Amino acid sequence: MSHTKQELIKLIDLDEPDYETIVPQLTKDDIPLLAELAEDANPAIATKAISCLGFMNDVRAFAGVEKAAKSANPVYRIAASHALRNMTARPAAATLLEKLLDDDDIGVKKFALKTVEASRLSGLKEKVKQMQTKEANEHIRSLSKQVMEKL
Amino acid sequence: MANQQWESLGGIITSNISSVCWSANRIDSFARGTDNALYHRWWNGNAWGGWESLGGIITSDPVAVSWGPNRLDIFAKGQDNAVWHRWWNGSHWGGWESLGGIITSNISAVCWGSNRIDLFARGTDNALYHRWWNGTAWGGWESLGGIITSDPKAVSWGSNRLDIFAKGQDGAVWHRWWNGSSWGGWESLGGIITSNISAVSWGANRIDLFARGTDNALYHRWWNGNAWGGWESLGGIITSDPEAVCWGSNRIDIFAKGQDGAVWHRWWTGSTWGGWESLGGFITSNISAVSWANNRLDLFVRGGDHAMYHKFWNGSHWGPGETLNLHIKILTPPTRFTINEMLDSMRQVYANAGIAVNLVSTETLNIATPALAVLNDIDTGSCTGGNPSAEQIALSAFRNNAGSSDVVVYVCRSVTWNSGSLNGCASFPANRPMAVIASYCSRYTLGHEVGHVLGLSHVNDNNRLMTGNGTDNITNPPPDLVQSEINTMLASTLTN
Repeated sequence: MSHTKQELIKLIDLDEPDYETIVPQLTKDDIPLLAELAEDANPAIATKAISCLGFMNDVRAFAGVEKAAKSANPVYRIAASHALRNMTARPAAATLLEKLLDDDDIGVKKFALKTVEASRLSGLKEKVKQMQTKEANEHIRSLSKQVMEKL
Repeated sequence: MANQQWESLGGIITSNISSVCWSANRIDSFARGTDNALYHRWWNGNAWGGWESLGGIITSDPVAVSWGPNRLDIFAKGQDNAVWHRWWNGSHWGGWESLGGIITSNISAVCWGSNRIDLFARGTDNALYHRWWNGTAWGGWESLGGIITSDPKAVSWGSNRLDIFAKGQDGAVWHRWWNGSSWGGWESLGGIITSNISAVSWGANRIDLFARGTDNALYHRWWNGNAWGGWESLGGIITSDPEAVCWGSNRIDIFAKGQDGAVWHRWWTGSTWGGWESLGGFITSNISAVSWANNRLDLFVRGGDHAMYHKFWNGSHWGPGETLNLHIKILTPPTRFTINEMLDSMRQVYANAGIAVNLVSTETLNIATPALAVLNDIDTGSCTGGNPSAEQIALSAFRNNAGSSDVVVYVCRSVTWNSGSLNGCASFPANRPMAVIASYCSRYTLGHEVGHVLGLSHVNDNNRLMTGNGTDNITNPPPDLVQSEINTMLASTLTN
C-alpha cells in the first residue's frame, strides 16, 4: 500500500536518513509521489526524495532522477548525480551522467565523477580522461585522475 | 524551560539565608549553622570565600544590609530575644553588640542613606518596634503600635523615606510610613495573605508588594506615586514567602517555592508579566535574591541536604552551567532559517542542560578558493563517529584559529553520505570537533549535530532534540533533552 504525501515526507525528511532502512518501506506505488517530492521547493525534502528514487529499480523512478538532473537548482542535480550510482544498470544512466560531468556547477561535476568511480563506468573513461587536463579546478582534475585509475 | 542546575556552596544551615551586595560582583550571604552561630560566605568577584563562623547564638533568621562599599551590618535575635548586631567596617568585624529589646519576629533592616540603618521587629505586645542608627548613635526602641501577625517588611524608595508593611490580625496587609518628618498610618491595604510580605521599590515613590493569598497564589499590590493598584493575582501555587528583587527601573523579578519544592520565577518587564518558569532545585528555605548590576540576579536557597545553593542570571541565561564555544563557518548561507534563528533554537534547548552556547565567531569562507569550492557540497562518506571522510578532514583545515575544544560548524550548500542526501553530519577528525550542516537544514539541525559532537545518539522520540525521525518533524518545540543526555553533554570535554 502506498504512503500519503505527508507520510512520505515524515519518512524521508530526516537529518541523517538511513536509506537502507527507509527504502524497504517504500513500494513502487510510492514512486509517483516521490517523483513529485523530488521537485518540492524545499531542498530538504526534494534531495531525499531523489536519493530514495535512486534506490527504486523502476523506469518511473529513473525518470524522476532524470528530471532532477535537469533541475535549475544545482543542489537537486547533485542529489541526482549521487542517486545515479544505484541506477547505472540502465543504459540511459551513462548518457545522463556524461551530461552531468559537463555541468557548469563544480559540485554536480564532483558527484557525477564519484558516481562514475563507484560504478566503474568504463564507458565514460574518455570523458573522464579529458577532465584530467581540461577542468579548471585542480581538485576536480585530481579527482578525475583518481577515477581514471579505477576505470 | 530554564536551566534547572544549582551550585552547592556547602555548609549545613538551619535558617533562611540573607544576602547583600555592597558593590558590583560582590555578594555576602549569611545563615545560621547547626551550632546556632552566624555563618558567612562571600563572593569577591572571582571566588567564594568562607564559610566563616561569626559566632554568637542566634534564634532568628539573620538579616544583612549594607549602607556603603565594604560595609556590612548583620542583625539577629539572640537567646535573650534581644536584637544583636555584628558589622564589617572594611577591615575587621565588630560586635556582637546587643541592641536590646524583646522581639517576637524576624527583623527587617533597611538603609535609606549612607551610615543610616532602620530596624523593625514585632514586640511582645505584637506591636511594631523601631530602632535606628543615625550615623553616630542608636535611637529607639520606639513603638509604632499596631498588632501585627507576620514579620514586618520595610522598604525605602528615597532618602529619609520608610514604608513598613505587615499582616494584621485580620489577615490584611497594613502599612505605616515615615515621610521624613512624621509617621503616617496605620492604613489597611486589604487582602487576606498567608505569608510574609515582600516589598521592593524600583524608583522614587514606587512600591511593589507581594504575598501569598488564601488560594496559595501570588498576589501583587503596588503604589504608583499617587494611588494603590491591585491586588492582582499572579497565579501559581507557592509554598514559601515570595522574594522580589529589582535590577532596574520598572523591572521586578519574583521568586517562590512551588508545590514541587523547586524555585519558580515570574518577572515584570515593564509592560508584561513573564513566567511562571521553574528554576528547578528542591529547596527547604525561603529564597534570598539579590542583584549587583543591571540584568543580574543571584539566588540563594537551602537544599534538601541543608547546604546552601546558588543560581544566577547573567543577562542571557541561568547559571551555573557550562559553556560551549561555537564557531560558524559559512560556505553557503542557509536558505530556510537564518543562522540567528538556528542559534537561538539551539541555545533554548542547550540552556535546559545548563549549557550556554557562546558564538565565538561567524566567518564566511571564500568558496571561490579552489580547495573550498569542491567542499561546498560535501561528501561525508560513511558519516560515522570517528571516521570522517577525506572531504571532512580537508574542510577541518579551515578551523581558522578555533581552539581544539571549540566546535566548528560548517554550513555547506549540500551534505551527502554514501547512500544519499543528509541535513548534516557530525563525524570529525581527532582534536578538530566539527559538524557540517546543509544550507537547507531544519531549525534544529545545528543543535542536533552539535549534540552528536558532544556524544549524543539518536532516539526514537519526536519530542527530543536527538530524534532520529528528523528535527523537521519535532512535535512539541522546543525539543527536550533528558537527564542522561544532559549528563553526557556536561561530561564532554567540549563543555567547560
